[in-house]
Amino acid sequence: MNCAELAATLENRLLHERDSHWLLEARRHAKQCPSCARLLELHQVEEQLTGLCAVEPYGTFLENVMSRITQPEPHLLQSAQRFSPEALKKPMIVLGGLILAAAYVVPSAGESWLASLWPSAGLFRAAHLSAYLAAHPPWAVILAAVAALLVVFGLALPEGQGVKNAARKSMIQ
Amino acid sequence: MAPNDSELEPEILEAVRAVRGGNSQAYATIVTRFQGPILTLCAAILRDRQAAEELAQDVLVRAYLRLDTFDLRQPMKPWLVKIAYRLAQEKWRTHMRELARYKAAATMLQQNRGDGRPAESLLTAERSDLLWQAVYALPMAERTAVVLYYREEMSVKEVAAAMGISPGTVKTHLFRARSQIQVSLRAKGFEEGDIP
Repeated sequence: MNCAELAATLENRLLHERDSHWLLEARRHAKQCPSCARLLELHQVEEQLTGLCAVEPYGTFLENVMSRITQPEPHLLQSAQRFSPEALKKPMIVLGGLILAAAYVVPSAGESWLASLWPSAGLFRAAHLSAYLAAHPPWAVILAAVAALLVVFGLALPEGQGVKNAARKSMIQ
Repeated sequence: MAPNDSELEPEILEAVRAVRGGNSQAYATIVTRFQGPILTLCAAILRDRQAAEELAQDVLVRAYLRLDTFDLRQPMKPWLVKIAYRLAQEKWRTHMRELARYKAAATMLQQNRGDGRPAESLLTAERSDLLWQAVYALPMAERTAVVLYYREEMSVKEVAAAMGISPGTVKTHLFRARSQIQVSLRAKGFEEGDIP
């Protein structure tokens, strides 16, 4: 056996798949050839590493995992809660409703930044949006629009089922 | 190197679909199939049997929570390994110190030797003990690469993806690890005749 034969054979197959005669010849050659000795030893290391034994889990491992996934832990629920749009339903409706209610109630009390928000009966009849916009400050119009959108989107969101159920739903989908 | 599972095994595919359909109990199939590789990786990284067991459970629970992001066209082991490696890194940084590695490895080996039950035995043969000791003595990235490449038979590309490094770096880790293990085994009296 020479260096080229040894190297070529090592590249193709693992050591334990070779016959004992080949191994004997390889070791004999390696004793006379330091570079092939290193190569052979390196392959022995690789051979050993492929045989690393696995770590076997305790008997309760499966039971513990299944118990944890059927009863989600609080810190795992937090992420599910964070991404649940259903949780925003009530806050959106309440906030939008409060703004709109304030815009309706405050004018009757007299002077207020909201006093001019609602269109007068005359403007309704005329139905001139440009006249309405000209008569009211832009920020008030924008505020009213945002409030209305909050209510509309809030109503459009699906009904919330609680944090725990939302988390479970997100887990299994 | 034997190729890894290039596509999802039928029973795993079925289990994933069942879990996504609301049958959480079907996840037991996935746990049973992958608990060994995940635990072995966690043990190799943390060098602590108990901590590894807890971490492996965390990994499988995290995977369950993220199962909707798993691509059914891909094999599952690399996906789980990626989760495991990230969690293990966090745990390692938090709880472990590099200086204590030899002590932890020795404790782990001692604990497992003392327990006679086969299912709970980490390393049973002296040769495996020596080999694991040599692996434990490596830096974290190198021993992770060794376990994934040799023990779990993942390709260099898959190992690189799981560890978030380049294939070239994985090869460097493997080369250094082999050299270091070679030195360690030689120092512990491994001879040529020890080839299986």
